[in-house]
Amino acid sequence: MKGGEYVSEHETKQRRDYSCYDSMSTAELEQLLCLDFQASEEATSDLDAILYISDLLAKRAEPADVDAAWEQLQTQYLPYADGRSLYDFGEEDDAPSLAPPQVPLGSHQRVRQPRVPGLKRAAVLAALLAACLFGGMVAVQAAGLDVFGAMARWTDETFHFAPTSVSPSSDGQLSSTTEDSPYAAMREIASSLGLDGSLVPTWCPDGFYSSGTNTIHTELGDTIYDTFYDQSDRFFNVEITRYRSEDYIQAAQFEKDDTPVETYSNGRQTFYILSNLDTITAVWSDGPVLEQINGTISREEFKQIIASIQGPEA
Amino acid sequence: MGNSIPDEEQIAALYHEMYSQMFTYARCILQNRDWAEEAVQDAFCILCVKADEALSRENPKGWLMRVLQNVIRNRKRQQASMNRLIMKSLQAENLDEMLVYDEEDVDLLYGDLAARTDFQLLKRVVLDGYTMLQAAEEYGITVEACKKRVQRIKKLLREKLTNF
Repeated sequence: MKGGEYVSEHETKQRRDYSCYDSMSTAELEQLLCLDFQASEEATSDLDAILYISDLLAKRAEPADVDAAWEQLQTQYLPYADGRSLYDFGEEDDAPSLAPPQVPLGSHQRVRQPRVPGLKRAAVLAALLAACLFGGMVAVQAAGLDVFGAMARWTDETFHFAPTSVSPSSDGQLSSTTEDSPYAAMREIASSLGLDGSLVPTWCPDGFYSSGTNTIHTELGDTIYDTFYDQSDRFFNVEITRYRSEDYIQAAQFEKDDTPVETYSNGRQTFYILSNLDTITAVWSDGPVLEQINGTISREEFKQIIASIQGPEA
Repeated sequence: MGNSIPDEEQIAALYHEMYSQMFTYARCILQNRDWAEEAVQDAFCILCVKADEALSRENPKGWLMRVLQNVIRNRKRQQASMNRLIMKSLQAENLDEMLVYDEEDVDLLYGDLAARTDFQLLKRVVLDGYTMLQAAEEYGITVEACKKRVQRIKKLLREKLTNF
């Protein structure tokens, strides 16, 4: 199938090639969109890439009845529109303004090789895309002499896990207790998917609530994630992915600024804590499993969350 | 209110060009067809109200997509918040006592009846996953009235759960 036809006005001046998405499966593209949305709390998404992918997916789906939708807009919704979302109730804990983003929409960000500090979410797209595009090459390496483990490597701008040695997978036992915790659903769903429930934290900062646990399944692997918010709009994500191949781990890159990388251990897992402007990311990997926690909470809160993770058995 | 569409021709063209992409994106994120449809309508309502600002931008499609992202994000947050509120309410021993609007509000002479009805409406939206439009149609009210009633009962529950 040929690629989407969406090209922005800006794009006509500086055309970029999104054809790399054309050969990706529907599930992979949907995963890209979900992961980008999950993490791009600020106006950092590559909108042209999103529109291209959405257009691609729309062309693969049943055509929508746009005329009927247009009629409904005019008769059912528009008469009562006041410039605020239907779910904006004007309360203190409501989401931020729906006003246009602070980041110029024309400022395109490279998906695969983000270089501008603060473009934090291109990392996930880069990781997945790289895994898709280079999976074959990596698989050859894996089939040869190299067996990849997880060793952290970082530069001034990115962090990733590099191949080094054999590292056992971490399918620990699940703690399937019923609990009144913001993580209860996540733990339960992780368990049902065969993911290691012991990787789900048990401590949550006061006042945070789950936005709902989500799962994504693709040819690359299985991901479970949840985003937690408080009333002052701080947030953090917990995301656990078990890739179908350890090789994909090394493609995962994380944006960072020049703040030194810190390590923090809960006795079973050593997390690397990276700073990227207003966001902190803590990452840990073992075998095909990658766990990351990112958000705008304090470093101390990150450490408490990490400390609360039971973690896999040694 | 009776909003008309400013720049109708331009917005209609944008709607027909963008609807499928936006719906596909929203459905991917929300994992629900009805919610996705409403999110797109919500985004276009905002566009219509802010048409002068939006259409004068270099990239109105990007502006619209960003609005859609915010609409979706707003919905997910509110859904989580309202879900938590309902769960707390249902666990409260004094739910019946809580479901009474302030008698000083002249619009709510039958405060307890209105509050109970609104609570059922809120459950429809939160627990049954109805869109605002679906809930409005079931209750024979407008989308605007539905939103206001959800807003009203949400405010009441928050106050009562704090005070009790």
